[in-house]
Amino acid sequence: MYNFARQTLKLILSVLFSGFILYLILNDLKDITTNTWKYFDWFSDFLIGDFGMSPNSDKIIVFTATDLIGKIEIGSNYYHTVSITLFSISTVFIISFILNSLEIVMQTKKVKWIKTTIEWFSSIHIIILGIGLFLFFREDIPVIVGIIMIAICSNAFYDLSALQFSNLSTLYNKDFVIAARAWGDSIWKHMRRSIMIDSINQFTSIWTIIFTNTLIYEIICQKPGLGYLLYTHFLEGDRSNYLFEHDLFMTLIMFIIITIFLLNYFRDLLLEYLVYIRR
Amino acid sequence: MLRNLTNLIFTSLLFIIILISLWKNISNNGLDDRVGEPYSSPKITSTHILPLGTDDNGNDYLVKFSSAFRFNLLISTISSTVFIIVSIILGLGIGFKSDNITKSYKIFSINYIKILYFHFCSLITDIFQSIPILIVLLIGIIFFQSHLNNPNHSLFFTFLIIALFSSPKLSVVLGNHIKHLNREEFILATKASGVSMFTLIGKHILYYESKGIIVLQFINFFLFTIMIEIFLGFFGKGANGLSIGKLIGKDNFLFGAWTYLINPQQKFTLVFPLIFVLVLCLVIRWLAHRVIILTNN
Repeated sequence: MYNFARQTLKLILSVLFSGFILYLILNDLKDITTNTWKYFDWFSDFLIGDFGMSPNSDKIIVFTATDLIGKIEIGSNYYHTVSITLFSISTVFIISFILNSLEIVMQTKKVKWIKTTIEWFSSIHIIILGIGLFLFFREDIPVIVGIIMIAICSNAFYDLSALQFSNLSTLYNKDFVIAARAWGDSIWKHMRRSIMIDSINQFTSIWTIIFTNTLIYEIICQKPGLGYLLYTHFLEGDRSNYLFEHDLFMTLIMFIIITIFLLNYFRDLLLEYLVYIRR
Repeated sequence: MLRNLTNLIFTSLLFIIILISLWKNISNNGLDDRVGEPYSSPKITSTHILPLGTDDNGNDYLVKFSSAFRFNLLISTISSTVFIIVSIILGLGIGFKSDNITKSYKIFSINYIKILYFHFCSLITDIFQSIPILIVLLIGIIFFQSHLNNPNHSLFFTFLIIALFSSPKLSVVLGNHIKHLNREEFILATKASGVSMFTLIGKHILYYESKGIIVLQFINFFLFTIMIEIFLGFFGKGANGLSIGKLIGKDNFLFGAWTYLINPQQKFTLVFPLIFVLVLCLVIRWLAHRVIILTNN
């Protein structure tokens, strides 16, 4: 109970502090006292779902059942980005786990070749591959190609695979696993708990890379999502004649920050549960 | 046999990349010299050598590309150096931080300042680690572009911020490596042999034990900054001079119209920077792999 309260307090403070620093930067780091009050005012509005307006009087909302005239909807874009991220993480995680398990447990050479080939492909950055595909297909790039790109490029597969390989091979050579192998017992039964703990760390370590890859994919390939919102409102064309959309930028970034800190929060709680409570 | 062939291919590619970066000095053609018709194909004559033909203004395309690549090399080298320095400072703090600090020290004593430094490094790394680089990049671009008139300065400072926020990639690995050395009593043994703290950190930890990690992360970050410049250049937010991002970005209105382009040289100038960076990615991966093998031996 104490740990739960501590982790929750850490989550709230991290979100509040990160948002505050961001607010100050966007307000040119001037007049800190006034901006502090303004920030808390904005944050309380944010909590009740009042995200503010864009300079051309479009209302920022989460979801709408009616038309989008005079509104900027964030919810569906957020849903797109998070679901593609989760799908890509699951894809890369399962592929990497199968290949590493086969390599360590079965010790097959063919698997090593497949893994090395994907790792080489992984060194290509999503920015260059995205621009290259955009050159030929424009917005018609299939989602499945996007997911493969997000899951593998920018060293995402390489980083996860290397971490998983190191964790799995250490575990496979632990005394209790060797003893289980000697007795002819199923090693997965004994390795399950440790694999679960390692997987949580691996999952969260890859999250930031995959999430960034998803945003880049949406920006370059112009697919719906938070990345596309960032593209249309902050990157597209020469924006020097437009007013900066302060409320929209703050809202988008707060959604991203809250997602990341929430994920870290659940990771810490789960690890505590698995390591200390469910022994 | 296959390994030797791979090494040979990648060494040749590395040689070609170095040659391209030096082509501006090798060629007789200047950046703005009109040496042929717009989009003319590669040719070698007694007066002009045009290995990649000309661009839309009739200038030597390879000279232009070489100049753009050199700009990328310059900013990438500067930001990678900053990245290495910051990462080492933070990594040392994380590595030497003891898990059980029970002793209380007087405020402003050396030991108290040391503990403050260790905690600061740990906290800063946690903060840097939890924010996606793309968000930092966008905030950096918005902040510096609204405060600085020169796009080159804005790009440079954004890259410095990126270097700071990317520092956990090296600092965490370095910190864990130092902790590992500490557990193996390497540090205690080196201290016992009468080595000063400065030599211990500079020579034994950073050079003998961690040079592989440092070089590897330098190479990775170097490539990463080139990619970021391309990303910004593609959306017209990059430097105001010639850069690879700008070369790709200036024709981005032609993207998607590939099948309608008739001139093969125009197609080539559109696709060449992308192929070059793709090859650069693979060569850098190979280089990093060689660094790991060399340092492990």
